[in-house]
Amino acid sequence: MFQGKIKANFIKTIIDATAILVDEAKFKIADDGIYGRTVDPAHVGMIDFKLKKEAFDDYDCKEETEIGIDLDKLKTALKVATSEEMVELKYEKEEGRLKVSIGNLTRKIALLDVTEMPDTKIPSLELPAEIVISTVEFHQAIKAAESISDHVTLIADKESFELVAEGDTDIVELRLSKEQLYSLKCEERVKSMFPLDYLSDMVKVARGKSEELTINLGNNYPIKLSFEMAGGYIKIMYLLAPRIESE
Amino acid sequence: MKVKPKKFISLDESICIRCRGAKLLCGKARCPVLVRYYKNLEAKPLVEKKIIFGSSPPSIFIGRHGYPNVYAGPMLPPLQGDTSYMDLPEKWHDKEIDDIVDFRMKLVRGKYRININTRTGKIIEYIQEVAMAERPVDMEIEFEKKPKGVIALYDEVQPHGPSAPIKKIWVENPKVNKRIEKLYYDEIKANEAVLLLYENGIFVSSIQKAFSAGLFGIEKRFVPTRWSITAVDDIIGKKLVEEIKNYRWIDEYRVYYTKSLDNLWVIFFYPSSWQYELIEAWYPNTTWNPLGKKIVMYGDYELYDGRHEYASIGGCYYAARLAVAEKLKKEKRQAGAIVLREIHPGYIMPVGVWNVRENVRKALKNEPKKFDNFKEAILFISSLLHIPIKRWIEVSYLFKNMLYQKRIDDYYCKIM
Repeated sequence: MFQGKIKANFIKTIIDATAILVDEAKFKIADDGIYGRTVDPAHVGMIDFKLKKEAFDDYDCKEETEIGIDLDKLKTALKVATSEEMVELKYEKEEGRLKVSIGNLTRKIALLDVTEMPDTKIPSLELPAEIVISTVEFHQAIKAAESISDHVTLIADKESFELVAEGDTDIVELRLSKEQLYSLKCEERVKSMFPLDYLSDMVKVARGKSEELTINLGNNYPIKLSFEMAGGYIKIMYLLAPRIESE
Repeated sequence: MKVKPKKFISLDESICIRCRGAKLLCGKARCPVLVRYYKNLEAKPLVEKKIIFGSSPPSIFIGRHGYPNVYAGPMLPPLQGDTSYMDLPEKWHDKEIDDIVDFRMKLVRGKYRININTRTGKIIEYIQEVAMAERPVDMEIEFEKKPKGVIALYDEVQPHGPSAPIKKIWVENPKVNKRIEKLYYDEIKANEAVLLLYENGIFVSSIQKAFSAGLFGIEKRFVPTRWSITAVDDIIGKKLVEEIKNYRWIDEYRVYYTKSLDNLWVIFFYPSSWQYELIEAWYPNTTWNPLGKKIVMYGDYELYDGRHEYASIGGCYYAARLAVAEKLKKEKRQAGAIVLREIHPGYIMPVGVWNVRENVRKALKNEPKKFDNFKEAILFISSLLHIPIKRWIEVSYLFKNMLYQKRIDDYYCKIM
């Protein structure tokens, strides 16, 4: 049995963040919070989120369990709630449905079979550069890049962070010095290219949710994007595989 | 991830490929490519009479000019007996262009101006009955004047013969397909009707006929033949794609191929979540590359979530997708699929989008060549194609993606 009350905005963010990659997802409900980790069907992007019980008002989980969610359905159910409204979630194994209550309105959502949903592991990656950037500024640059190209190159060195996209005729660049970033840790120059359709969706989720976005970058290597909400009780992390054209 | 619309490439040579006689992108009043064919065909009048008696295969044609007020009517040859092959593209895959043109020219198109929403009237009833018919229907049409023209060509619709306005029409009581008739009386959505018939093994071409006659849906209306073909390919294809997304990926790389009407078809299946691309390479002096000195290549693709916009290469995209999805559905497997089509100079006139659907189906009935890895498969593909593989890769979104885009799986520790 699980029961919890949470701000609509928080649970909506978790659902939206996962829905950019998949239609259905498996969530683990544990005594200290809710966890989810999923890769998209093409195995290019991954999400890993932690929704700690502290992000809830009243959180009660008697027994650890896994539930399979049709994200579109839950999204529709949550649509009626304003972002500040409280949503009550309740799950009882016997019933097999997730009960979503907003005010006096309740909706029982049929759950999916989790036995068919594989467990996902996070690959262990050594990402030498860490950049903390303004989400708004990064989002703006990604949007500009998207208008001219399908992919973007991110470069970091000791002094700066750079974004470059080249279209058929035009070029988009963003260059920020160490001082213009929240922080920059980078010993040697690293450079990787990423597909913009994925990256743009990921950054869009972070915008408006967190002022800072942490980027971990390597050389022709996956990127890790992470941000926090609710005073750190909600953590969302994305991994995105690179595009390597030199091979 | 949804696919974004492809950027516009302003190449004069690609105008025809994007237009195919439909949009008149060249700014001329009539498609010069099609006009050229008409001129080359000797204008020997096939029909000298104003009254024709014959067996309709069955066949109907709904025009699109003047939409929503369009010309509709049955088509019939001045012949009696089993004419069913004349309107059954599912049986044409071993025919040559000349054979197809020869029997399609015999189909005379009766024209009657209707509003697509009109539901009553004798002629409208006749058209609907013919569209429901299971076997050839005897009919007699008296035309206002002698049928004009020799052959009418379209890109997506199969060609037909001369046409004239209908003055009087008599149609025998046809034997109708019971399933189609039942759906006509049922208040179910057009999409659902199409899928039900397809699942019951009704030919796609027959479903398209019934769809264009406005037999399905809550609000029934006529649909121009051209649009009905792609609509039905799209409805069925989309449904099949949704189903195959539940299946396991194929384990190996497969290459299928076939040749027909001087077209070379190479179809590549690879282990992946659903994604699909069709690329066509038109040689100079083929239908839609009449002016070019170079081979013009054009393609469209979709990723897992499908497309937002209508494919720029038109109905052939949806016809090939149906054939590909049908094959995977039958095997209960999921894969990525790339269809490569080389259109060699012997393909002298457009014969309709059935050519794409039926030839991809035909290729997929063959035993594929199987490979353990991408490199070997690509080498084999490259040995089949006349155009260097490098050029295909340049045009292809999915090939480039496979070559360059890494997957998360590539970063798991190999040693446990």
